[in-house]
Amino acid sequence: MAADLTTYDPRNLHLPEGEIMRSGHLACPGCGAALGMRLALKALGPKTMVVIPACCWAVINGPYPFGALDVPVLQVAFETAAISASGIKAALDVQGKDDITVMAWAGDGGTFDIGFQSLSGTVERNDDIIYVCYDNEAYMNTGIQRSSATPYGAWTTTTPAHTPKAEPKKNMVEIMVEHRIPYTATASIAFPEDFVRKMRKAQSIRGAKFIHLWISCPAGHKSEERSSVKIARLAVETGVFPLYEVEDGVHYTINHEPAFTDVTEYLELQGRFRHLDESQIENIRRNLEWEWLRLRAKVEMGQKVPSPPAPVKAKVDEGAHEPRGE
Amino acid sequence: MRMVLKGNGAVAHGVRLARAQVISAYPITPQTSIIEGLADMVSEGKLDAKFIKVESEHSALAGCISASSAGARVFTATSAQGLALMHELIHWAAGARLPIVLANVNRAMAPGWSIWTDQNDSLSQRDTGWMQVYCESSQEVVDSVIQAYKVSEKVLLPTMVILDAFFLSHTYEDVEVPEQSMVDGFLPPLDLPQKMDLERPAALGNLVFPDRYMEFRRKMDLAHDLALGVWEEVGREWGGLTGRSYGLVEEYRLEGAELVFVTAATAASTARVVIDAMREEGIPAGLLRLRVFRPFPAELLRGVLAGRKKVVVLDRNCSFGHHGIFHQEIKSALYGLPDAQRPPMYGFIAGLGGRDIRPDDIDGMLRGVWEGRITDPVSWWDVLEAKDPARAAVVMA
Amino acid sequence: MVELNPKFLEDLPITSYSDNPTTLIKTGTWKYVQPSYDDKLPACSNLCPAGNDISKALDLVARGQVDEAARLWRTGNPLPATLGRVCPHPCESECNRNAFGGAIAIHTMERFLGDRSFDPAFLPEKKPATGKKVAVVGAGPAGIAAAYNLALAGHDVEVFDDKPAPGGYLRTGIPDYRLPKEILDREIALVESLGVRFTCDTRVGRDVTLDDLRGRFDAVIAAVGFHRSRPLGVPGEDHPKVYNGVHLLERILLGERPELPARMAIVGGGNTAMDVARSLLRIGVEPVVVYRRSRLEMPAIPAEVDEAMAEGIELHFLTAPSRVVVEGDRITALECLKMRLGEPDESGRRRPIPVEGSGFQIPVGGVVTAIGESADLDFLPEPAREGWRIAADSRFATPVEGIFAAGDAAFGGGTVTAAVGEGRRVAAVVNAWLGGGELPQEAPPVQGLWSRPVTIARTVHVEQLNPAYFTEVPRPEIPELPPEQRKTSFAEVMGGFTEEEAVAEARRCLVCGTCNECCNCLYFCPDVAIHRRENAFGFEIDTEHCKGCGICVEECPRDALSLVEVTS
Repeated sequence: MAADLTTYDPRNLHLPEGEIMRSGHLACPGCGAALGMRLALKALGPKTMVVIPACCWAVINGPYPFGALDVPVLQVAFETAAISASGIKAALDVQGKDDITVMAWAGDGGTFDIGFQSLSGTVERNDDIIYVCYDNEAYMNTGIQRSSATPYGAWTTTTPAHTPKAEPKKNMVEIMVEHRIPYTATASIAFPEDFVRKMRKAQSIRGAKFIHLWISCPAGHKSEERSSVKIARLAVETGVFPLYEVEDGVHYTINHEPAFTDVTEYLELQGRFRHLDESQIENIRRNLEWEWLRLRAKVEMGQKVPSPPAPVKAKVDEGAHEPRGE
Repeated sequence: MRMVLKGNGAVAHGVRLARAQVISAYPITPQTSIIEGLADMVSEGKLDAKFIKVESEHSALAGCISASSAGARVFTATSAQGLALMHELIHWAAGARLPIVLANVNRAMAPGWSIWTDQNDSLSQRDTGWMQVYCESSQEVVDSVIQAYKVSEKVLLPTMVILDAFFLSHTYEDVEVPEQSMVDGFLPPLDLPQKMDLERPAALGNLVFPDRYMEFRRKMDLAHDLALGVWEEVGREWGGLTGRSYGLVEEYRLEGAELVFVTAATAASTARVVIDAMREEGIPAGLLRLRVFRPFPAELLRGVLAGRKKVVVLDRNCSFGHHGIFHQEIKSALYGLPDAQRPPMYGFIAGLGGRDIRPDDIDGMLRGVWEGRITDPVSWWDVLEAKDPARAAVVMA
Repeated sequence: MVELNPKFLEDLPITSYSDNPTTLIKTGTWKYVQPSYDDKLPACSNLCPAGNDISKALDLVARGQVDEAARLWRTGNPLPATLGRVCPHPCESECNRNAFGGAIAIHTMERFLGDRSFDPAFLPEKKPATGKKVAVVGAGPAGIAAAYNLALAGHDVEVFDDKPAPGGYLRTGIPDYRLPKEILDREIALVESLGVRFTCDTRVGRDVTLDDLRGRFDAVIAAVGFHRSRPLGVPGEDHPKVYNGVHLLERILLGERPELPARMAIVGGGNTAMDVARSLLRIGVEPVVVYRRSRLEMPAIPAEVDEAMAEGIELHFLTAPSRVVVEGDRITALECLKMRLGEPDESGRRRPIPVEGSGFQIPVGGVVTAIGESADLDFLPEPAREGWRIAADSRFATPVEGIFAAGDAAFGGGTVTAAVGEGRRVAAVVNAWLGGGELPQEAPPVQGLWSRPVTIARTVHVEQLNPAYFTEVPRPEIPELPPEQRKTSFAEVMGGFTEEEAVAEARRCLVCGTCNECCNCLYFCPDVAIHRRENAFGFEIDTEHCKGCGICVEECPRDALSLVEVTS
């Protein structure tokens, strides 16, 4: 058995030992989505049910009659991840099985775009599920087409290099926060302990929880397979992808203060940014600064503004809609 | 217990008696009073269920699919555009072999907007693998909802229980509402053989390569074959308990009938009046009401219609570019008969978009055919004539 | 489980119900490269002449397995407590932790492990007796190390020395404030516990002949050191108050307190010069050190120079003596020339060149020479000698069959640590020779992880580490006696670690090039293809499922993994 190495520098990782994901799945080598799922299930443990809509994981999980996860999995239609999780949770509740975590696991397309409506419905009802968006910033499963999660300047097959994506990435976390759900967080495969902690925190809270997990995709980002964790780490350390969490729609906590490494270190490891010129990179830098100003302002706001008033418990009508924050 | 119920109310009571556990639904006229009734029942504790008030019909059925996959008895209801929005998941529910019961209130498809009845919405879902039951009365609605759960859970296929907008959904009738204890004896709690289960973790719905996909579809088709007998068996069992037996079709005054009128849903009630009158006159007319449309009782229909002189089919729907859908389906079923046994068929497309079908209309169709005045295989009934069909097709006045 | 090869429709579920584990799918066939755990040489061990497995031992300490660490350290090194006091610790100079808060205090760690393991229970298991006998000439560090390793290998070893007690230069050349003799005695006692006999007061060539030894023993190892001092070569150096540094130091260390002038010049820049100066200070003499090159070129251990300066000792750099000034029968001064540095000479150090007309005098009453030493090799037959040195090849063999050599007289390593390393290596050669009658192809390498194989012959420098995983953690202060207290006493200057401090310090060790079960590879594998080994240290790769992405290699903080081509 491993020694307790927590006081080491480097401080060695301490993650749950339990393994729910299996080897032999069909992810590409170096896949961040596979690593993400592995860590998520380490956090949640075996009393978990997983919903997977159309996305890379619909393939990764294996062809019939194989499955990569040692927990029940339901593959569902592209745009239905959130409501499918709600349905399972409702079914479990009526059967008196109230100790099972239901996790929806969807890509950025299934979250930011086609699944947006159903997700909004589920979180507005504050259904007791964990929704994880594993975000590789484009439609990778269909061969790298732009999504509304694709960042400014990125090449995809539908935003060719001479006209790369001109718009910034949709800010999904803030949209979730404005639903006033009890817990929203970002996470990274390069910070597995932070990710595991957030999953467990989400598991402990009743109501709708949204985790935005940034993952690398060697095929879609045109990066080296071995660099998947490194790039994910640089996404955080350059400030491109802040690690933070928001409770009750108002209390912001930045979980890792980035080193603010120059963004080129992140960009140059990915072929999807190879065509960028200095003015475009400068634009990325300016936008990063602006995003951080905005995020820090929200942190300050959360220090001044109290949690929303607890809801008055109306007469119990039906169970699916649990009071917030309970 | 006798109650005066609208068709929509009958649906709600059927769902209550079946002890549905998860309801996931989205309102649409003319379905709304079904889910309002259920919301009240859940709110008042008369139905111990979770009601997920989703943001769309697409999510409504998605919620049912996942809740059913997790082992719950589920229900949803919709109509027309809502059913069309569900279409992707209609396929999904059947392919996943889930015993979901859905009440569809037949409503015409837009545009232009129509909230009134016709069958094109449900018949557009014909090839999805769902079972379809067309009801004539509120009594049949409450009985069919309960039977639908029993059949669905035996053959592991979803069922659409279908009722006409307004003519049935919003018409009050005297209904015998069964006792809960009787229904409980008839319909045991759901125990799905393959579901999401922590004790037996499995992935449902994974990618299937060409080497296996057909096998799953073949099993689905075999389940439909099996379901024909199960519907009959369940209908008889229900008759034993309630005195109200149901079959795949309903035969009305068919003994000695040479002219057979075939239709489904509430138009059958109107037809009964016409048939009775014609029999009074000595015209050997009878009625065959289609009840279970999927699985399609082809063999039964062949047996019933063999040797009749003329068969008239009323379709409140149209497969554009071809016939009415019931018409073509029945015609194809009769193809296996020897020439001498195979009756000539006359199809009428009528009542689309909620246009009323009155006794006079049915009388006109039947007499026109019986008297040889109408010989076209397909006629649009009670519709403005085209002076020049080719011009009328594209000309805007 | 769902049937994998259905024959009938009944053998299939009703829908895509999948309950067979994907582990049945051998995704390992996709790869063309795969990771491999390869032990590489850490920068510290790369510079350790004694071949200590530093990183492995520190990893054990970090885990609290301090006794195991001490045992590992004593695997081939009989003198850790001694070396932990006198080693110039080149290991620390290139320690990769230098970039993240300062080098690991390896030197102090060695002392800690040595001091912990004076009990024979810490020694490796002795091999069964071979019946072979080996004579070792010289009981200095090289001889002790050779004897220790040969005794462990099962040979019968006797060590001859002309001094009254074993230890050689450790006893006669290193003052107590650096190495208390009690420490040396305890380590020698451990060697004796293995059956090694130390025959003292016996000079080979005088009290016993080499031929006698060759008759009685299967092999002889000449492990003699330098005990002669080289002359200054300047006028006036035959004055009786001009002392040989080695001999003067030996006298002081053996307890003599000769009558000495109040102020004396010490000529030289090595450890002997520092030891003489600091010892003189402690017996009331004011020392002045004169060295012809600059501080940078000083061969003395830098810490020793620091300590000497802290004690207030006057040092003159770039200064060479040209004459001992004698007035009457008394020395009054040492006349010197200032020097400047020219091109590097054959030793790699810059050659000192006198500055014309720069002569000046340092007033002193006596002079001590400490400018290099040489050995007494008269006992050896001619072919085994080569001028001042023993003629030995890279396998430690002399041209005379059965005579081997190690230590300063053979290789001039100049440090106790090098001598221990040579003793260790000559023992390996002699052991092989005794076993097979033939010399091995080559001796063990100078540096290396002698307690385990290095699977990839590459040294891990800071560029090979993953800096994302290291933060700056400062090196601890090593306790030392305040300078005022040192001047008047031979009490030990440097302190050591408590166990708690040692564990804390070991946890700063980056364990370069060797797996320490940090688990990064295990946890970052997207394919769940790395597993803990059952009942054994480390991890193993599930090659049936590893897709060869290389994340484990990239995320290993310490370069313990490499990607290798799949061969089959």
